[in-house]
Amino acid sequence: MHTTYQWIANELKQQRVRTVVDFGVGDGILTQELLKNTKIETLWAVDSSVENLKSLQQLAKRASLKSAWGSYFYYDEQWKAKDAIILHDLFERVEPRRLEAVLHLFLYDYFPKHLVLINSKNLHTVEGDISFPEWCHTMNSHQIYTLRFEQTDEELVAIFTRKEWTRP
Amino acid sequence: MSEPKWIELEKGLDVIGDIHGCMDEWLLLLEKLGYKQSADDLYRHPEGRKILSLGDIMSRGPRSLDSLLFFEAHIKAGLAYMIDSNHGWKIARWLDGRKVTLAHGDELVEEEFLEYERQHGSLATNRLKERIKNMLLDAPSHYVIRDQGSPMAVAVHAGIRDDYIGNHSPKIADYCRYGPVVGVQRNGKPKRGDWTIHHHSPELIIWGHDPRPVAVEMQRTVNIDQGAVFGGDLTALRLPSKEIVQVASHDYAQAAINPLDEWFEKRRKAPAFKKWLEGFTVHTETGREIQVESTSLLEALDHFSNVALPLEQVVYLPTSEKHVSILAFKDQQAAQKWTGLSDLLVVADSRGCAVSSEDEEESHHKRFYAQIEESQDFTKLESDWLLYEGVRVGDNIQVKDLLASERGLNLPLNSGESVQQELAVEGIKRLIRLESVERIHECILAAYLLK
Repeated sequence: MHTTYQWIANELKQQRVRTVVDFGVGDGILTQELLKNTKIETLWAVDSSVENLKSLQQLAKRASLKSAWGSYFYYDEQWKAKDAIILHDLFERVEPRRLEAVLHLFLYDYFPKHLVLINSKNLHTVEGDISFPEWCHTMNSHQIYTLRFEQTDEELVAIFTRKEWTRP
Repeated sequence: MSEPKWIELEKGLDVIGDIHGCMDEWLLLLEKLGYKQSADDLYRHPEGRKILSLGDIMSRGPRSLDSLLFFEAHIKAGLAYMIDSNHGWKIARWLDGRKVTLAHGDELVEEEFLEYERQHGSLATNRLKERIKNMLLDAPSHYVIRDQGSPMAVAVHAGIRDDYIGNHSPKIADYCRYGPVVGVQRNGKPKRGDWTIHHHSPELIIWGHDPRPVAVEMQRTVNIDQGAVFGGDLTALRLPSKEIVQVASHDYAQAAINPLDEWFEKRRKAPAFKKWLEGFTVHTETGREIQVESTSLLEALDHFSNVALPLEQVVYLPTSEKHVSILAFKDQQAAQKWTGLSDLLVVADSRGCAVSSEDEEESHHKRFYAQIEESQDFTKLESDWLLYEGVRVGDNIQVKDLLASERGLNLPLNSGESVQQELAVEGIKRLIRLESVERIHECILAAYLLK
């Protein structure tokens, strides 16, 4: 079993999220994991690949599950102010030099309560010499979010949580 | 604050953007416009033209009082008009003895009045304050400009709705001063809505308030605040010719966030794609309407998200597979400003994709760039970027014609050949007009979908 996905699903359950966007859904494994959480009222499975979206049709048909086309490089008002957005394949799909603009779009335009980043160990991710956690902190220079990191077997996960939604 | 008024065009009007106390530049602009100082110190135009200010003549800049005095005298003499504005309204209420907090450069106006008082005493200062207050309070929310009785333009400070034109209420006055405020930005500044997209009536709306690097007419609206006080230009729009006359200025305000720089950042915002979903129409400058069906829009967006070069780097799609587009930047700073990325050279094929593999790219690019630098086009044309067309010859690419620079189109690009060609020309023109990445991408998407 994929421990990262379990950890994220569990974490979001504890945060009592109701609206969740799985951005860059890929094979849909995390989506299926999240579907076990019955507290989620709407779960959007989003991908920029038309092919991937088609294969999603085979996923369990649940009233709470919606699929939509979405990309890191186009703006869509419907992702504003959601409880949680998971940027699933950010580091696989986006070149390091374009990451900052994309993360700005999610952190400050879409402004979710929680933003989850998944960083695979093997990937060269961010530009320059700074580490992934350091880079996350620079993206949060306005201190609007609190940051947490979790090292799972496969990946390093970062969660940005808006200050007013951070529990002590 | 009185009712909105009509102005007859008569011998012609020169509409002036936000002066913000840039008096030296204002006097230079007057001279450039052909106004001459008469024996009574007032400036008159030999053809009888008049001045119309869009407000915000004071605050932030070095000589607010001189600017206020200039307009007070010229309005009284029937040589100039001025409309209400956010800074004007604030200063008027301050002069009226209301409790207001002077900030955003308004405190500099207070300093100038204190200095005046030190020199001329409190009696003279109070008299002056009264005169200036009356001038500011008399400024209408907007002027409708008529040519022989029929409305041809509207002058307003920050924005207007079509149903507000020619009408008056405190709500309308507020809207005209500040524009639509839709929220608060991260930096605490108000977030402004775009009212121009809702303008459909035939009058040209001339406005200021929200500085941007160029004065470009879009959908019968033109913003002539080119940020004089932030180191941009002081602009005049001449009516009826619509000629733009400008004087370069200095960055007097030294603001922490320069709005002209901020504007370039906003220009690169990720395009909102939803409006293209149901099919769309590209309106070209030449007046053509190109209809585009959107049945395979998502496939196109998939392509531009996952396969093509970054949207910010693609200006047009070459019309044949033999051709490539070559976009070159003067230096890394220029590349960052225009694309948010530091690549000095972007070579794209007819699908907006990188032409060579990464290994080849470096050597190719070095060669192209050396060739472009040799031409000295950057210096000759005083441009941050240059756009060339290249041709594939076997495995190689040759740089051919220079298509465009910041100065404008370089070739008399023939847009009549095909729809693709017309869309390419329109996209390049939009870049020259400094339009947003979204507006340029609209042309690229249309060309891609129509292929």
